[in-house]
Amino acid sequence: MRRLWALALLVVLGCSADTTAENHYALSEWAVDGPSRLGAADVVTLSVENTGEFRHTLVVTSESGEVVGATGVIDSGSRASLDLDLAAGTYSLSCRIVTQDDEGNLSDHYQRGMFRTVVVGGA
Amino acid sequence: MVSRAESKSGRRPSSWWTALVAICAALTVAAGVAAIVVQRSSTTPIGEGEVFVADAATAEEHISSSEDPDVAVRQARNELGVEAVSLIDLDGVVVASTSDPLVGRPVENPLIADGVVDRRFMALAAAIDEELWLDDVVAWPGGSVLYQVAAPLDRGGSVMIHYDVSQLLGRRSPPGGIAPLALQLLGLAAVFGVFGGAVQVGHARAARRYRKVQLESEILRNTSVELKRANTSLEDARRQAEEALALAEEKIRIRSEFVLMINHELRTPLTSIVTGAELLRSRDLTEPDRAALLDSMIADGSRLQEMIDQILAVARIENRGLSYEMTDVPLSDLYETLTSAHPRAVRDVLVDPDPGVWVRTDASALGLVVASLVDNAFTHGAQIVSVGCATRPQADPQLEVGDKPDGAVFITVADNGPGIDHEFLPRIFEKFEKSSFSSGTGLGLYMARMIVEALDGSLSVKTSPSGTTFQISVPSVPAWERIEASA
Repeated sequence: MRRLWALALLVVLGCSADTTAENHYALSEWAVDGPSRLGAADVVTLSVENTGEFRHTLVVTSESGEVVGATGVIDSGSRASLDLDLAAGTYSLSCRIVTQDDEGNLSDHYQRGMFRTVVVGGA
Repeated sequence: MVSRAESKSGRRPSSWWTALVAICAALTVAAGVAAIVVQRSSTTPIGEGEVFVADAATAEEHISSSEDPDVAVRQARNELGVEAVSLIDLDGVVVASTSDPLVGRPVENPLIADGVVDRRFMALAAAIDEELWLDDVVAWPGGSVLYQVAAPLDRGGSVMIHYDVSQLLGRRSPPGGIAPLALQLLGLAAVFGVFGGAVQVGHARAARRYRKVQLESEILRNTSVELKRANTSLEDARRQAEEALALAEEKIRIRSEFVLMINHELRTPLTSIVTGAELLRSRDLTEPDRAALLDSMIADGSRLQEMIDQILAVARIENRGLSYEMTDVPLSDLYETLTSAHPRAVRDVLVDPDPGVWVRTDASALGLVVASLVDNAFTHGAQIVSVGCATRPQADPQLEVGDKPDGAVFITVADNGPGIDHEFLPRIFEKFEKSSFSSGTGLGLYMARMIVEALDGSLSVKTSPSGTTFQISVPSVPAWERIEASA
């Protein structure tokens, strides 16, 4: 019986650990790393971590370009979470920070590669 | 041009232009294909950076051109069609905004705040935590997302633009938008296409201009050729007119001299005869004087008759031509005939008395010519005149008329007279021509020439102050004909 409870606990813990890993996204220069597919359409919490040197944000937009959620500015090495009620479909996760240095050179994080397409549900 | 081009400068430039257009077309197609390939393989979206910079510049123009910051931000917002435009001072506090609640508040977003303080351009889409009132009408609910752009102003402070990020992203950055590289390649294709088009247009214009220049050049060339032809024709006409005029003048001169000659040469003996006849009528003349006068009158009459006969003979020759019956005569016989007829003339040596040499001629006609030449020599002051025959011609005659036969025998009449005036020499065989100091009709040498030419021979002359030599060439009989005839 003890063995059975221990196995059940491992299964529960393992499932929890897997769910967390599926929703975790890392922001860095210049990429959004994380899963390209999320589970069933529902309320999900995205765990976002800035592993880069600069500050970043994460904006989630639907296929039609509507913003469905966004984090604030995440400092380097910091984490943020984002609760989203996602319908089945295709979404884009991107950082939308644009800076310009003294010489006039633009640095558009989105254009430099900080975006990822994510499919939610069976879509 | 052009041929051309071909243009040399005219070489025709079509091959280079065509090659250039073909290259441009190929590059256009290649760039277009590359853009499609890149676009299909690319997931790179279009960012908003350039839009933000352009909008910030527009907002700054309004702020700089207006003294009222409230008016300036409102004008900027209306032109840009954004959610709100705010003016921020050096301390990071909003001093004017189309969203009244923002006025007096510091910029709360730390990234934007840092940009404002550092006077750097900064834009980000991020969630806002507090509710904002935009334009006093629309409430921006907390928890939504705004795109905030802060751009430093040259006058100090910053301008901040608030975008509805959903509208912005939906409008300006749709998923699957054109990749920047693909856009660049399409631009490149457009550049090549435009350049190729311009080249083609330039080529077409150049070709038209080349054809026009070529046509004008052709017209000028044809005109030049026609002018040259016309000039040549005019030159020919002028020369012909000059020749006709010279001929007319020559005829007039000959006619005048002929009239003078008739007046002098015919009237003089006629006057002498008439005067002699009048003297004969008188009874004072002695018998010897009467006899002498009669001899003189007879001589003048003979002279008159001779001249008239000469003139009539020339007229007859010119009207009917001359025709002689040619016979083969041994040269030695001809020599005897010609030289014995003129006792006053010294016989010259028969240079080549080869009995086998025969001459094909009319001996009596030839005799007339030789007699005329001998008389002419004595008339012009020669004391010694020699007549000879030879099978070789004299060297370097100064003038020759008629055609010298290939095989010829030469009859020479040489004198020790004063020679012929060099200015008169070229005209010596012409009709009615005579030197200024001589008498006669001027028909003697002309008739000699006509007869010699009718005998298929030639007549030449060589003169010097110590004497003159006339030479007649007549055809000899080829040896093989003589052999056949004798056989």
